[in-house]
Formats: sequence, structure tokens, C-alpha cells
Amino acid sequence: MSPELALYDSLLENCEVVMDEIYSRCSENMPNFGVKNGCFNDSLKKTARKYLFKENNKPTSDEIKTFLIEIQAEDLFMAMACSNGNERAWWEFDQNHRGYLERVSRHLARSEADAQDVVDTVYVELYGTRVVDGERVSKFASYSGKGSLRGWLRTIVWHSLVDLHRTSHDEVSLDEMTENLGEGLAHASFAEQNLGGEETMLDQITIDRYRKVTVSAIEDAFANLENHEKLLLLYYHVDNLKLREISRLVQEPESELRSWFQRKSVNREQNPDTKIHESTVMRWLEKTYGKVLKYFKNDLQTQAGLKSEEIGICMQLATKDLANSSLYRNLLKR
Amino acid sequence: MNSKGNIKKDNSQIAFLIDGFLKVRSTTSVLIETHLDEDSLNAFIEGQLSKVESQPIINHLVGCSFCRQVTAELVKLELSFAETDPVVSQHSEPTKVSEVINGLFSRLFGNTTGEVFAHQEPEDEKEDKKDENN
Repeated sequence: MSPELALYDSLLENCEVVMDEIYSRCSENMPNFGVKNGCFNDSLKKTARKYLFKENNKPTSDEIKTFLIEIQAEDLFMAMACSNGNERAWWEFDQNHRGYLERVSRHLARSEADAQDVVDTVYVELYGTRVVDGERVSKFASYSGKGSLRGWLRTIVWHSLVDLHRTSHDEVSLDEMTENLGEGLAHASFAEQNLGGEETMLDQITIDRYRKVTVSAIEDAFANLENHEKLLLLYYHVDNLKLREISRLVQEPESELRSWFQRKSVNREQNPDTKIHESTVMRWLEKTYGKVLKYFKNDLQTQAGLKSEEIGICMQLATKDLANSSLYRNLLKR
Repeated sequence: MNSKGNIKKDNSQIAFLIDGFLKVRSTTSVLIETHLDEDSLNAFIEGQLSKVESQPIINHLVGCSFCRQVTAELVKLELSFAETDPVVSQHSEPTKVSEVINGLFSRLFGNTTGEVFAHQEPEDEKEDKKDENN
């Protein structure tokens, strides 16, 4: 065992009391599920190793305890019992979650038959058909309790449906698969800019140079953003998430995407549970655009040595090119 | 940028540029072979991860259009179901899991495979039963 792993294990051992408390609570609420204390604690440790112990992160005992307390312990307890094949747990699982699984499946599938196929397949996968070293491997074993069991099931159904479509249609793109969700095409509705006549006065060599440095500057500007800012732009512009949907993604007060964007907000410090509205996400986008613009102009000034009038011409050219799709071709040639 | 009006106009232009750039970039992304598992995807979507926990996931999502699209679709899906009450099944008696699974296999493959999915009683349940008999 590496010194790092040994350190993690000793940190976890210091938290056995917390784990035992969580176990007692769960087994009191679900007395017939047959989950053993040691197995449950091992599962909690596995979750901590997966999410908490990362390179360059040495959590304190208090941080580990908080992490353990925040785990969806009852969901994990049920998943473990189902994984072991406990009848009572399966019955409760079926009572509590089958209806939801069916509704999610119907919502996503193109036909009732497909929906039923997916639910059946998910049940079989959850029970487990693979046997390794004489032990049946249940899909439940991959649930860590970090998110809700219901959310995890939704993800399983979604993947199962993608697999079903791929099997029946060879390769189907995710776009095609999800088109029945009613999402439109790109929703960024930027008005076409009113172009001036400057470019008509420029020779082709200058225009080509402007195009080249513009593409390079936009690439550099995007590359200089922090990853959570890149993700925000990608969700909005490429994956077509609406502001309302992005606000959902950051709804949890503990969401780190949310905290990154709000790290300097006085309002957040005073009201950490405040709901994130679409207008807030729009403001984040505006801020990110502002940052891209700053980097973009700075790149054109410092790297390409352009003056502010020339930068204006670059933007107009690029806007026009995008409207005609020629900038796309230029990008693809690179 | 001397006035608010100019900031808005510039932002609108840069948004238009970034929109085009990102759409092209997404068609030329490098294929990533390792994807996020369901557990990580769900924990991220539900906002259950701390900064340390979510950083590698965000880094992955920026580079992996497949996983990002999965998260985007799951967010849409979650939102569709967010305001719906949980549905409880109408069964009144516990059903044997082995029966349920065998039933499913009959439907999927047209025969039963009961011997493969024979229910294994956990050791402690066996002991409980022994105690009851004694």
C-alpha cells in the first residue's frame, strides 16, 4: 500500500464513530435489510476515496466527517441491500422507485415498448447478470451515495436508452436520440451586426491577415478562461442549455459552479440559500463575454499589434464571416 | 468602451463570435475514450460536489463533448421531473426478487433462467430464521 493510501485509511479510521452512527440510524429505519455494519462502513470509505481523496488534497478529520454526514446514507443502505439480493429491500425499492423509472423511461423513449424494454433492462442490470469470482455483480454496487438514488437511476435509464437506440440503429448521435425532448437548435439570438463599409476599402491581403489574427485571438481568449467559465459558455452555446436549465444546475447552495461565479458576491455571503434566477445566469454569461472580449482585444493589441480601429474592423469582419459561415471553413482548415 | 451602450454592443458581438467558434470547435474535438460514470455524472448534476470533488469533473466536461451533452440532457430531464410527486407502486405484498427477475428474463429472452438467479439469502437472515425456529 502506498504511503498516501495508508494515510487516507488512517484518516478514515478516525471517523469510524461517525460511520457507526450513520449505520445505526439506517439500520433502525430499515431493520430487515440485512446490511452489515462493516460492509456499510467499507462502502462509505470507498465513496470517500473516490471523491474526497484527490491528489494534493489532504482533508482534515472534520472535513471527512462532514463529507460522510452529507452522503445519502439511506439511499446507499437500500442500494447495498438490493445489491445483496435482500427481498425486503427489493420490495421497497420497487414500491418507491418503479413508478419513477417508468415515467422517466416513457418520457425519453419513442414508444411504450421501448420504455418497457428499458425498465426491464435496468432492473436486470440492477440485479446483475455478471458473475465474478462466484459473486453476482449488481449495478447497485456502483452507487456511492454521493448523489440521490433517484438521480442515479435517472442517469442509468438515460444511458440504457442510448444503448437501446445504438443497438437498434447502429450508431445514433446523442442529438438524434434526444431530439424528442423538444429542444430547438441554437438559441443564441444575436442580431446580425450592421456592417460598415470599411472592409471594402481594404485589400485582400490585409483582410486575410485580419481574419487569421481574429481566429487566433478568439481561440486564445477562450483558452484563457477558467474551466467553469468555459463550461458555462459550452453549455449555453454548444449544448443549448437554456438559462433556466443552467440555473437548475447551480440551484444547490453547495454547488461549486455557483460558488465560483458568486465568490465575490456580498449577497451570497448574507444569503447562501438564495435561488438562482435566469437573470443571474445571464449576468454570469455577460461577465464571461466581457472577459473574453478583454482577452480578445488584448491579444489583438499585444500579439498582432493592431490598433483599436483595426480591432473594430476585425470584429466586423468576423461577424460578417460567421453570418456567411466562411469563418467556420477557415477554422476547420487550421 | 466608453459607455454602457458600447459594452453591450461589444458583448453582443463577442457572444456572436464565441457562439460560432464554439460550435466549430465542438465538431473538431478530440475523441476522449474514458467517460464519467453514472455516479459522478449524477452527483455533479445534483450539485453535491465540493470544489475539490468537482474540479476534475469540470475539467473533463470542458474537453469531453460526449459527457457534457449527457449532463446537459440529464439537466433537462431532471427539470422536467423536478416538480412531479414521487409515484408509489400499487403492489401491496412483497414480491420475490427472483420472481421479478425471472419474469423480466422471460419477457426479454422468452425463457426463464431461474437457476442463474436463484436468490441467495444473506447469512444473517439465515441465522435470524434459525433463531426463530429454535
